[in-house]
Amino acid sequence: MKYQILLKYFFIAWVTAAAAVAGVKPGDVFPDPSAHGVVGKLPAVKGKVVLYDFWASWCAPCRAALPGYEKLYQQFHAQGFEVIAIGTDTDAAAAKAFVGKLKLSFPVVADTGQKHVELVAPPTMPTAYLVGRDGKVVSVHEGFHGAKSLKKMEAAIAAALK
Amino acid sequence: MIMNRLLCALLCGFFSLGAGACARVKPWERGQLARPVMDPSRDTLGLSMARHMYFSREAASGGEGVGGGGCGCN
Repeated sequence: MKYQILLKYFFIAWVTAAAAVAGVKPGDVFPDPSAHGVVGKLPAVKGKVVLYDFWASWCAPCRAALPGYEKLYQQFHAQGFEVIAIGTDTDAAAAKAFVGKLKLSFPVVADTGQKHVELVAPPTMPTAYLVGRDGKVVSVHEGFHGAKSLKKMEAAIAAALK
Repeated sequence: MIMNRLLCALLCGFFSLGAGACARVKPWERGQLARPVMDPSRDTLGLSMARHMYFSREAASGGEGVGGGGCGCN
């Protein structure tokens, strides 16, 4: 009773901190990027398996991952698979300059206001969210570790497309 | 009783201020840290001038980099 105020304070602080780090998890419906200020042409994703990749031009593993995602896109696109790369650079020109060199087939959109990324709250850069045909997150792939990551994603995409 | 409540309120305020100072840089915000302006050694002329000033005015040198870690052993 004596320390009720302190206990209440710590509980509120804990809940606030937990809410601050909570992001999109497997099983959650992935938020629509177009509804949160993401700029760029998005493909129709209804009934498709989608890999949403959060990347930035200043992040070396993010840059290494994009050509790998291009291979996955080419491999699975005909079966109803899409890749959407969401650039989180506040400087749109830096992202555009980098993407221009890669010649990617999948759409690269920009979240310069960082509203969508704030909502999804990826735990690291890059983070790729594999979303199933029902719009729910199937798996979250943190970071990029070359062929090892691509192999893991390939298996997850193949399973989601079944 | 009033004193206890006041003390609790003061403690809560103190912890809130402390927590505010520990803001975590979110992964997507780290681009700010990657900017060249965040590199302390970006201005080599300014850095050498600062080193000269510390050496000539304060007789202080080292304590940076691997040459002198401030341990007093080299």
